[in-house]
Amino acid sequence: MGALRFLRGELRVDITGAAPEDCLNRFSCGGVEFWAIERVDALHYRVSILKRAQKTAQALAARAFCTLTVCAERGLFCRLRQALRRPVLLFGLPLAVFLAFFLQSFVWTVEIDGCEALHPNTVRYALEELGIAVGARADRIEYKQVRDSLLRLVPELSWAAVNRSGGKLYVSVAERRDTDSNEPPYAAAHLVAARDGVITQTEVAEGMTLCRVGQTVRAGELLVSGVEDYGLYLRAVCAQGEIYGQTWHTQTLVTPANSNVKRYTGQQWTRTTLRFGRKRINLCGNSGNSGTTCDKIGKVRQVRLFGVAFPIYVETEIFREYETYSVEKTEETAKNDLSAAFLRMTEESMIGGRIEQTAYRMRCGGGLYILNGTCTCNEMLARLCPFDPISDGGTP
Amino acid sequence: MKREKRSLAERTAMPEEALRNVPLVALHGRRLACVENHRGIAEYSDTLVRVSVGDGCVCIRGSGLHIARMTRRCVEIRGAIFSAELS
Repeated sequence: MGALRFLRGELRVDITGAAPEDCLNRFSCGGVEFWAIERVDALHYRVSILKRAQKTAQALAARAFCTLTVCAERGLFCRLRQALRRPVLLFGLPLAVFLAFFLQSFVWTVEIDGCEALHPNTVRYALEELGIAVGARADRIEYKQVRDSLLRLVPELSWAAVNRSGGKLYVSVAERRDTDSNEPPYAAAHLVAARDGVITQTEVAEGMTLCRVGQTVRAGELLVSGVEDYGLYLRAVCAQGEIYGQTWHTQTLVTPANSNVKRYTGQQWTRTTLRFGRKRINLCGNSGNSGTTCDKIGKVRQVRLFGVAFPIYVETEIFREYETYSVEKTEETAKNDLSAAFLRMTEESMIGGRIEQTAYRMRCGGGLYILNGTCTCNEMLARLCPFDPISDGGTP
Repeated sequence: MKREKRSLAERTAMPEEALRNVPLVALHGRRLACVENHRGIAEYSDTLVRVSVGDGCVCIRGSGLHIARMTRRCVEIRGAIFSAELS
């Protein structure tokens, strides 16, 4: 009923006179619909009538010696008339409706879900290669094709799904899990010595052992053959085993006697940038570092409104200026640095094993510290060397 | 004509207010009174509402009285109703 009255339009009128109840009687007799009768005082009533009955009501009120004054108006046409007086609203409303529909046909945010070991940016860059980035036309995305291409571009993924909701693109991925398998990595392979050494321990699970403890071997020498000889026939296998041997590593490391040390000057400045897709707008602060040496500390924040993340990022970078000065290293410091580097490099060059003994010789000359390091290690010697049993005939 | 109507009402057992313009006052508890076949409001205040009917007035007394709805046929009076009398 209220909605119907709103569509037809209604007036709130004041009836003032000596006998306003007589006016109400005339309204009811004259067929003027009225409601929400409010008695302000004995001479003053307030009622609501339909807008189209205004003239009849005025005439009836005059016959009852009352005056009828319109104090408020409501209804659809009244609202439209009010809207017409606001040009910004008049143009803004259709524009907002248009934008609400038009902007949905573009991708504004890409949400990647399901990345565990893989960084989401890897998937994001792959999508960009496929032409899906902020601002891309959503109706031109071939979801099945994108999914297949994504799996091809990122081999770490085993499954992907691409869906869109408005201007938001949801990409769900599942990473490939490498299951531990007892299967050997090659169909046929030998174990050969990786470097020169003396064998200290042998444990062979598959293949024919061709070495023994105490034997001296050269790099590339066959330790365990992948061809098993059973007398009547040969069988190619992937040789498996652990062969440890004593080895010697020698290296020469050099470091300058003087080193440059960083010292902050106390000068620092901040730069704030607004990033939208690939566009970058410098909001405030110096955009360059004017050729000085400085450290940069960056912080990126995504713009959020009522919990909704927008594809807009505010990047704040703090630049701290520094200068360098030369400091002379002591022999002790240089030796410690170089020996630590020597041990680290040696350990990195071994698959398994340990360093048993070390010896260093330090000398200084020409503004340089030179360290000759030698160490004895007990390390894994065997390396897999695959072969083709048909074409190679078992030759490593 | 009146005689015919009266006899018709008696014969058909129809309500008399449907055939003749006799007033019908209905009280819905103490909150609502409905006067049908009225001839307009004679007096209206928040303690007394007098409604003209064919041969007199119906007085509704109470407090906080107000006319909720009024049509050509009936008047609805709401409020705390103390009494309704025909004078």
